[in-house]
Parts: sequence; C-alpha cells; structure tokens
Amino acid sequence: MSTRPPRSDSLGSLAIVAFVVSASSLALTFLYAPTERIEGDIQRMLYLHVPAAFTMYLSYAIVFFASVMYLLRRESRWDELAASSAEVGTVFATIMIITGPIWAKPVWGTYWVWDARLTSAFVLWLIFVGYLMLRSYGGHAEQVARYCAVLAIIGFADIPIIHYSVRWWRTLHPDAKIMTEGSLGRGLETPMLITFAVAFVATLLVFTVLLRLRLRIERQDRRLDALQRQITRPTPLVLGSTN
Amino acid sequence: MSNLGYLFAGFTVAWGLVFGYVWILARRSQSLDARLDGLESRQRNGTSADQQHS
Repeated sequence: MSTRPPRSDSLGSLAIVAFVVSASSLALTFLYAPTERIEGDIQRMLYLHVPAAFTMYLSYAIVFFASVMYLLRRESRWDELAASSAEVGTVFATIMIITGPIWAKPVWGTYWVWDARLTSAFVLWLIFVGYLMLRSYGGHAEQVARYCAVLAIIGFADIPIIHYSVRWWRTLHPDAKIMTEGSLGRGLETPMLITFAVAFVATLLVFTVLLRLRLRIERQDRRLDALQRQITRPTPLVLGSTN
Repeated sequence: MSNLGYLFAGFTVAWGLVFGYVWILARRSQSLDARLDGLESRQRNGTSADQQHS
C-alpha cells in the first residue's frame, strides 16, 4: 500500500477560491480603485507590492517559528514546514524586490537607492537565497536542518529592521500608509482600502495554496529518501545453526 | 516608458513568477510521484520475492 501524502481535494477547492479572489483583486485594482492624484496610475502597484511584502513577513515568521520548534524538539515536521515556507516566502520576497524598483522609477526617477529600507530588504532576500542554497547542497540531513534553522533565526532579526527603518533613518522609501500606529488604513481613501483588503486576502490565499503544495512535495521527497535508504540498505547476513 | 507601461511590467512579472513557480512545483510533484511509484513497486516485488524464498 502506498504511504505517500494523499492528494487533497480541499487544496483544489482552495486553489479555485484563490484564483477567483485574485481575479477580483485585479478587476478592483484596474477598474474600481481611484487614480491617485500625485503618482497617477503607477500607485496601483500598492495593491501588489505591499501585500507581497506582508506575505513575505508572514512566511518568514513561519520559518522562524518552525526553526525554533525544530531546534527545541528535533521533529522533522517542523523542518519540513520551515523549508517549504522559506521557499514560498522567497518567491514573495522576489516579487517585492522586483515590483519596488518598477514602482520607484517613475516616482523617484531611479530604480534603486541604497537607503535603509531597500538595503535591509535586499539583505533579507540574500539571506534566504543563501538558506535555500544551503538546503540544496544536501549533506547530512540533520546537520543541514540545524544550520538552516540557525540561519533562519538570524535572518528573521532583519524583519523589524526593514519594517521600522523608515522611522529610524532618513529614507527615500515612504512611511507606512496602511498600518500606522493606532489605526489601520488611515492613510487611504475607502475605495483604495477596500481594493487593498481584497488584494491582501488574495495574496494570502495564493500563499496558502503554494505553501500546501510545497509542503506536499517536501514530504514526498523525504518519503523517497527513506525508501531509497531502505532498498539500498544491505540485507543482514543471518547465520543459521550448523547443528 | 509610460506609467501604465511600468504598471503592466510589474503585474506581468509578479504573476509570471507565481505561475512559473506553480509550474515548477507541479513538475517536481509529478517526477517525485513517478519515482515513488517505481520504488514502491520495487519494494513490493522484493518483499514478495523474499516471502517466496522463505
């Protein structure tokens, strides 16, 4: 009997919901949300760039939590979760890193400046690319899991620096408009806020689908390794009695 | 490039990355499924051969 992770019907349903909500989010972004007075149409990048950044925070928070749990309990399920969330998180970090400069060019006149927000975000991206490279090099599974857990915990320390960099230092990147202290969404008009909320939910749904898919692959991969070890293990020689 | 050009580029790259990643995951899953099928049938055959020998 097969012992592989079962294909989940709920994942298919979730993928359909994610697709419908994402399509609605795109429609709201281009057809409903008003054009911002100063930046013009390019400001619609807010509905892509900011949810991607928050989803990146969430996925790396999951990696941090799973890594701490792995170091405490040494259970492989925590390592599976950390590895999967790190990869999906890096997809969202890449989206954030690419869409930021595309938004910046028409507004700031340049794609990139080495200010505190952009530099700390780039450092986080590099840390997690390094994390994924460390995993792909292989080696002793438990040792790799331990090193990756430590790297993820160190890398996560960069997230508060990214988030508060716009307050701690003078940066070209604007201060938070969505989440300000004491209020949520005070800096946006209501139609913009509604569009942002739908875009945020759509991004979270896409993240959940990707994470569950990736987690299933991680489990398949480990099952395959275990089976290969089991099959290639030499059969013990059984010595019978000569009497 | 106009503002709309940048906007189009941003959304295309982002959704391209997501769909590309889904495609990579689907291929990895298919390949792992096929390898698991092979190993599991090999293991079953090995087990039945062992039982016949004993």
